[in-house]
Amino acid sequence: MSRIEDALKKASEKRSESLRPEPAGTAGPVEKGNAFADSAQVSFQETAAMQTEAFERARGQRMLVSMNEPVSLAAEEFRKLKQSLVRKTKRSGFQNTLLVTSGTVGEGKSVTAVNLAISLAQEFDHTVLLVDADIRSPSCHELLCMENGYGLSDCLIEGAPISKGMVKTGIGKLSFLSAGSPVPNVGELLASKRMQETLAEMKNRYADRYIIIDSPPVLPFAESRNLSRMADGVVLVIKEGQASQADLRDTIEALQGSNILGAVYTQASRATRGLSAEAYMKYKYYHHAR
Amino acid sequence: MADNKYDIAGQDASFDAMRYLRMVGERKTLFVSIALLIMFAAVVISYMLPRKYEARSIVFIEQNVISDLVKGIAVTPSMDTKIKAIKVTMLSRNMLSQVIKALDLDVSLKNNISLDEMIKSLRGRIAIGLDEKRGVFDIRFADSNPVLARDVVNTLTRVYIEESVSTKRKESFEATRFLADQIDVFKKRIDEARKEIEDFNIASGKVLASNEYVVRNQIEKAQEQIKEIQIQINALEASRKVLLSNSPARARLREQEQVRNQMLARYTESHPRVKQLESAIAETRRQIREEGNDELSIIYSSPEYQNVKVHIQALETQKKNLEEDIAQNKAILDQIPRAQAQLQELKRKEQNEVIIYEKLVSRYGQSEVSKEMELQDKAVSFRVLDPAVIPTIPSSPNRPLIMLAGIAIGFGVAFGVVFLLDIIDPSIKNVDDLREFGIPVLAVIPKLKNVEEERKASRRSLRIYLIGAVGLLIVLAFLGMEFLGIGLVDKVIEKSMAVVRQWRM
Repeated sequence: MSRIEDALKKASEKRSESLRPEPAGTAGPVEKGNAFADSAQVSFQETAAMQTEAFERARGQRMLVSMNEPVSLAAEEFRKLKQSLVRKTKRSGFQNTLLVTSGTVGEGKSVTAVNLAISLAQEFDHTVLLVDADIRSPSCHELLCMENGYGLSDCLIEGAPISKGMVKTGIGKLSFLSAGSPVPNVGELLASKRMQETLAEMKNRYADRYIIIDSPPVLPFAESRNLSRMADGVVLVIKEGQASQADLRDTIEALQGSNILGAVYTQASRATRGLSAEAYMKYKYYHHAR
Repeated sequence: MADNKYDIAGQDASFDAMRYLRMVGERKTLFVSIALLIMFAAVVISYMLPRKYEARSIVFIEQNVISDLVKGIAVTPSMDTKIKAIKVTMLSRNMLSQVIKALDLDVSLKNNISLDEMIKSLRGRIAIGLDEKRGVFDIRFADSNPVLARDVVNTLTRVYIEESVSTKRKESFEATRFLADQIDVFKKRIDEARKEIEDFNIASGKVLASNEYVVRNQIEKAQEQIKEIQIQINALEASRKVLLSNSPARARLREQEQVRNQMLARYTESHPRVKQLESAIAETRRQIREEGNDELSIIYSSPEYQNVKVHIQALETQKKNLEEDIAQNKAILDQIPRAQAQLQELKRKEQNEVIIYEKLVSRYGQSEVSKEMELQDKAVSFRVLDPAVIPTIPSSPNRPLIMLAGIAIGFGVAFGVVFLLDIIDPSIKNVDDLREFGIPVLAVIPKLKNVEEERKASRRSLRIYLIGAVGLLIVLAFLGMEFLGIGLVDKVIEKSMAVVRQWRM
């Protein structure tokens, strides 16, 4: 437990350093140890201005194709992904926790996760929670043009409910739980019982809520293997020309015992896609833009 | 499954080219750099290689004189073998050393060994091609010095033709001399043949002169004469016997015997008269025995008897003579056909010699003419159709070819490397690779466009392609220059070399 306490100390120090001047009151209620719901509400309200700002900035984020270029081919593909996932998850009860992972680093997990989340959030009948579980090198907050504030690691260490770190993004019904402060023992943290409980709590809080978990890569780290067994389904992200066949085989082996729903093939070059489709989309897009 | 309905254009055969293009596009920097490196290496190599100029002369060969001269008389080697012999002769040590001496190539040489080396190297570098159909051969020689190349070829051609003309002269001299010798020889042989015939005629003249029919007649006549003579001899012999038995004692004996015979007809032998007579006969016989010789000699010496005897002897001699004649004639009769055949043989021999002799004599006249022609150079058997000139364009290195090969190899190797890298690269390159794992593909997300980055990337790729195009254009410019034979680069190289030399001074 001493290690956890150390980490806690470090985290709090870091947070006090990186505190921004605008949300001055955010640290207060946390330290006072108020009731979770209130504090959550307070944090939501207080960060509203920041959210809109973030939302405005996110408007310019080119990676968020689902939001910013809804007519593009990529957005279309994300919609397809969303639809097939919705179809798959509703087949046997409602499996709402989806882990997005990949074999190696940099195959586009976060982009996929964020876009999938936005795509889901734009539907009216789903609220979506995007959890950035890649504590080693979090990137979802960057994509959403938000801060990596009080997040998953902090909640786990402090034992606080995750609603404490949840932030509304302003994109449909999408909430976001950032990765939180960096901790030395990520593997243990994410494999802990507390994580399991937290995940179960998330899953069951709102019955119709999708939880998209962005995770570290499978092959170098152990966390995703545990997470994949906790989640209801796994979406495997594969980047063209990066992972070898052997890597992919190893990845699938590592994810055994989990429910691999399917793969998302990212960064497809033009040759892989139909050129005609591209041209058609372009035409359509320009036509639409006019 | 609806999830797997993504069809991949790259899988289609018609999109193979697109796939390769994509491969190149992915590694364009590598591709362009390899291709350009090889191309420029080829250009540099083509300029670095020592230039060689090839001179060439074409010589026309005419038929040989001697073969025309002695056609039908003697068998001469065919044209083909003659042409093949040209090669050997041309590259002989004698020829090449003559060429070396004529061109003063041996000035720098120290000794015979290096001369040998030089001859060997010349022999290796001189190429002689034969076109037997057209009766033409060409001599080629390549050297870094075009003037030397020309000189070597022309000198070799000249030396060879001189040699062969002089040998031809010698040949035609020899031909006439040979013909003259042969004429002499045949003359002698004809004389010999004639002498033989004469000798034979002398030796068996009698046989040859005699007529078979006449001889046979003679034989018959002689045989008849012999018969007649024999008859005469027989008659004479009978008369001689008569003469001999005409002595008195014998006559008495004959009478007594006659009487006895008559008596025996009437009486037996034991008759007393008979017995008496018998004893008388015996007495007479005794008388004859005792005194017969005396009686005979009387007869012998009688002139009648002598006459008969001489006559017989003469006839005998005549008969002998006739028999000899017959024998001789028979022998002659035997000899006549053999002798005539022999004579025929001899005559034929002489005839043959005469025919050849006459041919030779007429050829001799021709050869005299052709010798005159040779001497006046009216019949040339070698004509230089194309003397070598100073070659202006180097024969090797074949720069355009090397450059073209460089371009081709450059592209080929660059593409090969890219292709190999693509093959070696184990990464997943299309959606199909995923299907093997049995994971449904839920989405195929294209590269997300980053306008800024894209612009950068496209600018970079444009720059790379531009560099490649410019490099290719430069290589093509070199190629074009070489193709059109503009020696600009050589001039530049020469000038820069000169400058460098000056600096060193």
